[in-house]
Amino acid sequence: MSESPKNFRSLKLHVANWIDGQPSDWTDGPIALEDTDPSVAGRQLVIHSMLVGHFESAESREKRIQLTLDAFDRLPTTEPLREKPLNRRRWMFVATTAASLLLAFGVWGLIAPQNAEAALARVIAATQLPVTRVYEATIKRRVLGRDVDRKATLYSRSVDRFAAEFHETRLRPDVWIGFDGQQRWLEAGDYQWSSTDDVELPRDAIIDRVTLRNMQFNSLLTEIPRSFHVRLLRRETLSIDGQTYECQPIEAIPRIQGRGLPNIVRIWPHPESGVVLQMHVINNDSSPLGVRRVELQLTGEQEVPEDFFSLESHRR
Amino acid sequence: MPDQSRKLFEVLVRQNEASLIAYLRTMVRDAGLADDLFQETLITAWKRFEQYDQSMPLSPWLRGIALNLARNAGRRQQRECLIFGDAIHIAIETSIERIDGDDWIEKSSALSNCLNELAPHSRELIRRRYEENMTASAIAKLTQSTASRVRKQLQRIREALAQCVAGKTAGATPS
Repeated sequence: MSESPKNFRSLKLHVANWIDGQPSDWTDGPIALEDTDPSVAGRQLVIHSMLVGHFESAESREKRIQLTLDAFDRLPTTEPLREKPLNRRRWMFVATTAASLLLAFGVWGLIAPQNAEAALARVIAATQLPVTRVYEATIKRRVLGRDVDRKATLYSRSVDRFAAEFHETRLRPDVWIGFDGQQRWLEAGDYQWSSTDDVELPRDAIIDRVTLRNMQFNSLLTEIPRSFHVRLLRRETLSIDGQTYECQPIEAIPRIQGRGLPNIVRIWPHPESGVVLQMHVINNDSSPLGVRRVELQLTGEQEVPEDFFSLESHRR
Repeated sequence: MPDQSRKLFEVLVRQNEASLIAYLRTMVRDAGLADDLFQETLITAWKRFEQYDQSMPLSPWLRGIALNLARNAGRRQQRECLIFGDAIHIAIETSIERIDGDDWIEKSSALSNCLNELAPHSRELIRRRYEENMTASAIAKLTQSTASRVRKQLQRIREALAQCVAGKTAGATPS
């Protein structure tokens, strides 16, 4: 593998063709490079690969990750069935590998991941659990030049089911909105609405597409790996109901602004479990109905009936 | 334990996705083959995790596995994999190490800023090459230039970007 100046010259030409050419181009004549230093070729290759990554769609990235996770899921079952002792050894191997990873990444659940993607992966994993978490939601809007805050109680369950009760509405009694896994719905006493398509939302003072999307925050979380850049913010102490948590917040910013995505999402995960303790979703100033910011704070977990997230269970 | 193993594996995948695929793309042209090798690298790493020296950084160990797999693939598909010598390898490792670390995305956002600082003509050339995935020959036809001139221009732009990224990341402070 050592390189003489002579074979480096041909290699140098190969690198140049490699990056910008196509197989048929490789028969072209020599192309002079400006620099004969191998470090130039190395830098060219690295920047080239970064540029490919920069222009790659978020969907392709996520597809690559999912295919790799699928390959992992196939690991135990793609092996032909063998005698029990061998299977036991396989699980011993999985357990040992997991234990090694625990050491490599720090003790899972006790030490926060060092990387924003890893921290986010843990947050998303926590949303998959079949637990109903209750959040106090504040929707901050600016209407006709003044700030209007609206409070709601949000019940959120894996992955995208939710029901939110809006309090103290002036024009209507308490209003419920929700998603049961198939349809979005609204219940306001004398008025009900449901649809499988959020484009058809009614023009209502309470509900709008942005609010609905922000309430369905588990879905927003799963969208983040595909469409947002993420980074870890400085550690901070979060105080909720007299309890303090040492959190390392995650900040997500869309790779491409617009497309109906919020401008910024900030997540304060529980330092051990990854459960979302607090979350701020900051929308465009020009967003519909002036929804500027949604703030969520965990108040606890609650057992609810299976049909709690359907419109039927909230009809009055 | 299986569920927890899967979560841990997902952490391993997401934590290393951007830097590992970038490394593979320095050697492998074909996007599908690069994805296959990415997958194979992480599965192999998982299976061999007991061999990993935990006192050492993880990324170079993963790159070592990826390199071996790419070399094997290169023997089968010579036109799709670049086999190069130690000097280039060292240069790539040095370049990757400089921008690798615990926050690749933050570092690659420096590239985004550097792209914005390019002259409009250069930015358009990069866009055609990477967003529209055009070869130098195709760009040359479109712009009534020659393929070798386009290649030279692209090389100069990439070199400028490399210097710009190195400058921005050298001055960056961890958040």
